[in-house]
Amino acid sequence: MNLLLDTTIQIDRITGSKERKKAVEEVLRGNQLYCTTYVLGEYYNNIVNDLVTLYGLFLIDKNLDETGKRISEHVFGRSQSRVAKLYFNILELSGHDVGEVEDIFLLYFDLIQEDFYDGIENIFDLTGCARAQRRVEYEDGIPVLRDVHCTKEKVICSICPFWKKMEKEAGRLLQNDKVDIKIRDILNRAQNIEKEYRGQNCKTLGDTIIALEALECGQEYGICSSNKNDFRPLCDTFGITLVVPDYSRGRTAAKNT
Amino acid sequence: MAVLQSENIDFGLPNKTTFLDESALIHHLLSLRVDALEKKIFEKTDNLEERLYHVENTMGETGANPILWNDMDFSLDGGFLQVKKKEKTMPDITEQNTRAECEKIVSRAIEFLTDWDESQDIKLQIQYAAIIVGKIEMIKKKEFIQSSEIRKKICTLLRNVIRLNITDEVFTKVQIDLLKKGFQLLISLDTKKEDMLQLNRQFRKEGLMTMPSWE
Repeated sequence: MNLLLDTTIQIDRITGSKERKKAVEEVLRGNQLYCTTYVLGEYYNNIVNDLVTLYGLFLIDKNLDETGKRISEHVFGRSQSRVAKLYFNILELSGHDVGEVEDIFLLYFDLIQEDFYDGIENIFDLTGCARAQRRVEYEDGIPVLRDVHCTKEKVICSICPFWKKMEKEAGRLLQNDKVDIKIRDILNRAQNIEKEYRGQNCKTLGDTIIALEALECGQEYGICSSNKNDFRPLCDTFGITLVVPDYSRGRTAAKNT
Repeated sequence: MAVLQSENIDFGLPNKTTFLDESALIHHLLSLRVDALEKKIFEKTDNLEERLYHVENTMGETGANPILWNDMDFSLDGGFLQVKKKEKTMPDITEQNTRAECEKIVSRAIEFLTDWDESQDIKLQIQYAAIIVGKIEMIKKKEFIQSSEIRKKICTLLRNVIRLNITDEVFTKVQIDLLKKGFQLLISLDTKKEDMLQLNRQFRKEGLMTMPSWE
């Protein structure tokens, strides 16, 4: 089967624990794997961005203790737990040696960008996502991830033409009250005001976009995601097979839903 | 006194020029001979260069490989232009020495990896791993490794792989072979970023963690 990997699966198979990686591998085995530039954009916005931010916090004075404190002061939400976990793992690996910490970061910048493509047959570009064009660049040896400003007012990608193309399919979501009300509200407004598809709303509509991308790729494409709750109503609406890894402790069996 | 006399040869001086002594006369004759030889060599070199230029242009037209001038050593020997392809050499003697030292460390590390391969005991594995990590730390300090970002990263990768996976299960033969491959890359002159990325992919394919978890 052709499986389109969403962002949660890419993150889990690259940065997840050994158990999670095994569970993901179990469901992916034997399938042809695909991804999209929209997912790549989300990956850069989250994982790669977190790594660059963490390194930036470290570079302020290369003080290992102060860096740890700065995580709690300057990184928030989901990123904070991720960054903190990564940092303390790096400290352990490096033996608390500043030089080794630095070397580990520099290695990870290469690995984190490369591993996204591991095992992927093709990355479809259906939305022209601007965030997917980001790459870690180096200024005097210091990594930088240039920002991309996704706003309602500016057109920097092809997300609106994509929604236009998928208008009919997207309309079916409005009839399904199992789809998140936030998504339905945005789609309702966007029918008359195109810019409602852009900016922060685009991020809110992320799962919907990925589901529509799978639909556009063809009936033979399923989606692999660890986010069953949000993807189930979308996949049910469009008749897409949803594959979810089983992260239950001690079990690695796959569930086709 | 010595007199240079000649009826029909031009020595650059009037006939029957007198020199203080024989050695002064010989010195003059020798300098004339050197000038003449030099002129001959330069003419030959110009001729050869012209021919080389013509050959290069012809090769360019036919799409054949161009001569890589920077890869050639030219020398004049007995009036003949010698052209040799440069041997790939280390930039300086210090780096040659540290590469030799690195080769010794790698050789020793591979011996231990071979012993490790033959052992199926996880306690012994932990001991071998400590030795190998020590070898990595030793080799990483060498100028030959420090002068290359890619070699440094490979050291970091090897160290990470061992430390992240050592207590889980006994390493398989394939996994240990990959560690050996990593060490070989450290002393290879042609190691590129793609070699490091490929090694990472191979580690991951064989079920080894190359980064800690952060989710």
